[in-house]
Amino acid sequence: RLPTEPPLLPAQRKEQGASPKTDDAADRSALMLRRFLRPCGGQSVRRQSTAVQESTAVQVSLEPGDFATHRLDRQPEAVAWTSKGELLDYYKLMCTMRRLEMASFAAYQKRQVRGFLHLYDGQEAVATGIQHALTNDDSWITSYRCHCIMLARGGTPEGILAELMGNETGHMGGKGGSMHFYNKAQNYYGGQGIVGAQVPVGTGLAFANKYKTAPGATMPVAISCHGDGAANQGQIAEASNMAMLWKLPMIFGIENNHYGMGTSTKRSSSNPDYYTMGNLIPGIRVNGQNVLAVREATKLAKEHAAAGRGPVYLEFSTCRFNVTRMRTLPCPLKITKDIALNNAIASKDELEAIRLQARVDVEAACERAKAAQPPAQAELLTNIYLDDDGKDEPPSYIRMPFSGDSVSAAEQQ
Amino acid sequence: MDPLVIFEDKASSNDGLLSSSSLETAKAEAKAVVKAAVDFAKKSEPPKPTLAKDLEYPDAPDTDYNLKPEPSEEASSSPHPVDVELVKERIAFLRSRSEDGTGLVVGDALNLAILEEMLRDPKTTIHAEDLQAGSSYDIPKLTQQSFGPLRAADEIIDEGHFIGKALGEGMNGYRPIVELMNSNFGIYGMAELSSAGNTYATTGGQFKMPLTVVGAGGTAPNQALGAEHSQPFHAYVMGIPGLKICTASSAEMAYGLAKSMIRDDGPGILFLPVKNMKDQKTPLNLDTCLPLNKCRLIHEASQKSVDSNKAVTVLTYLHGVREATTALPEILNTAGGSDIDLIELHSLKPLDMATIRTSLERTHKLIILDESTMSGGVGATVSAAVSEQLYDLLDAPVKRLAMDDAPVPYASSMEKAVVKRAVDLQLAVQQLLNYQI
Repeated sequence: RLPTEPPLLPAQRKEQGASPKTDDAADRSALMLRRFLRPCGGQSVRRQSTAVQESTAVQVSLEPGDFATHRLDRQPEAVAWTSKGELLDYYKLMCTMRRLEMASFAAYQKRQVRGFLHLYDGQEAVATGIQHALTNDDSWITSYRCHCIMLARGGTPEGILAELMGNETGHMGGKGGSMHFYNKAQNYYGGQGIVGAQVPVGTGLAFANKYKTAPGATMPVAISCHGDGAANQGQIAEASNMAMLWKLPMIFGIENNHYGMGTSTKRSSSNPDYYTMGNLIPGIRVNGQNVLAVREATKLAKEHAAAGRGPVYLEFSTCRFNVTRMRTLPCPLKITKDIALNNAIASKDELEAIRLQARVDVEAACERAKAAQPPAQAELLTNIYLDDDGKDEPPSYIRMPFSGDSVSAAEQQ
Repeated sequence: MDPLVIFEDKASSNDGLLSSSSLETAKAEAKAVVKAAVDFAKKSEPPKPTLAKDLEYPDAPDTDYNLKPEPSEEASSSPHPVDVELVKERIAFLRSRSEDGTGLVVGDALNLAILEEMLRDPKTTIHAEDLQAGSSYDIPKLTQQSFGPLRAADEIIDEGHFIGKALGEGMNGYRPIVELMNSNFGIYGMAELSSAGNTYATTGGQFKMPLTVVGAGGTAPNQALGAEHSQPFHAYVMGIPGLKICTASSAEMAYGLAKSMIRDDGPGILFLPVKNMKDQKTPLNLDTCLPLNKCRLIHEASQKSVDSNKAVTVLTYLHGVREATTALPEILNTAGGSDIDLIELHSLKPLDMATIRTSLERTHKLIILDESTMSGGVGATVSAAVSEQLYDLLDAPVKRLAMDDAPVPYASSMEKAVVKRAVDLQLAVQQLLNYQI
């Protein structure tokens, strides 16, 4: 007779005090039982799947080729646990990211957004996977290709689009623009304009995380994301040396989308295996288009770094769809859909509903963003100096502009 | 362990490869040589006080680069093949556009200057990010296809390293050109640029280091590139000794200045305005190298305005030139009459005080439309020099329209307050003309 309830997941068993070591056999049998619990009798997996509950644990297999390691004593397992609720959350976030980038590009073409625009469509699984492997106690810093990471770390489509349009309801009040999004409440440090500059800064975040933790205790980690275009910079080698020397809880994330601006990795890198560039620092390369693989690889990196064993190089092999216009790698949204369908986690209709809702939500956000006002000119001078009492006022000895001596026709008119 | 002691031990063992007396003699000789050297050094005269200044530039500021000798025969033979047909075709095409009156944009004008100079002198090399794709403004277009991937090389996104690398090439007999995709990225190479400026003097004049850096950058109104892509790098490098600093906002000037700077045997940097690289076409003064130490009177105030004390000298550069030419009709049409001597500061260093003096002798009033911040900017340097050298010509304090000391914001509503523009210039002219002591 088959049991009517699915066996506990490893995490659930741990909570109940079971020892992990004895459970390998239990895990395998749990997997077998799950397969038998699926509706049988020739039902297509593409119909409404009513048997799977929101929080039912499902094991998804990954490809062995999804991972490669360098000087790492553990291999990531080619499996990931998820549930319907969780996977659909990931899918919703990734659909929102995709629509957000498409809306940004459309607005840019209409010149409603000016300056630079670095899009993340095609890379959604990387940001989503990282966010769900870490907690908001872990610090995250990235490059100018930062809209979707802002979305993952507490941003909204409206706040992001309004910022791109330079309006006051933007997350940075119109001061930052595309390359400068931050969220202190969720430990998100931007949003940095200069290629590679975020990596030493990220190492400093890791330093602080180590310094504030009692010796021996688990540390919050810091992850900085840079691209293949930055990967050969000296400052990255410098930062990684110190991270290793001081055993900082640092993950050097490398979003390898195979093009640094217009130059392919073939032309720029004598060693294209960026996850090995840490030399003695262990490295993992993961298929950046599979959100579960990204999550598992990041979890492994976090475990290593948080335990005080030093930094990890974590390379995500990915692709940016919009600018290169070459989908040389599969779409991360499609892969997530396939996982959901092939493992009977959700139906085609449920997925489609999520995708359409994301579109509706982002379009509405775009309209609200467009309707907002530009920031007042007085905002120019806020957040530069604080006075002795910590108020947002310049100290009396700083001569600020508009003091009557300088000319500003904009003010006069 | 002392390596000399180790050597002595090993040499005098092994059945006397070197006898201990010969070792002693050698040591005594070395000691005597050094003592003589110390005595020589102590007795030597100090260098003349002007030596550092004399060695500032291998080529004097007023050098006429049209008179530079052609590279020698042996320099012309190179083991690296050149696709001469390809480069000559491109050169011919660009020259025909200039000759038939269509004109060239700034990016293409620089491309022409670079291709001509690379063909003329086989020692010239070029480096840029995305070089094989033409970079952002076609400045290095077809260089790699013509001259090969080593002589015209793609660079990775790391200005510190590739400016330094070019410095090495320059010291080792070559004539490197480096394009900064945006001049601000040169901040990463500040140490290298400083080193470049010091090379000739610090080496006692042994190493000429003919580095040319070109880059589009700066801050235009409504540019929306954010704080980290709007810095006035031209202001940051003003203080580097030994560096010649020029600006151009038109194709004609970019072409002529680039040719000179490439032929110059010291380091030079040519700034261009990032928003004006591809929008206006002008014909060039083909085959002419322009002086690196002269600014240019673009518009001369009428004698009538000078006589009625309604003329003002305006110094500007990069985007300011476009702003000033936009403001000019309004200034001319102002009730009561007003006019300007508009001077483009093509040479930021060395500064052309002679042209400024000639203008101030007519107008006695000066506005600097400056694309740097109030603190530490180009305008501050020029203003100080004018006050020191031309004070008696001034009827009013120098008026400086500079960027506020605030990070350049992204939103245009705030950016227009930071970056001074045509309307600010019009207002400043009126204020200066109404100035009462």
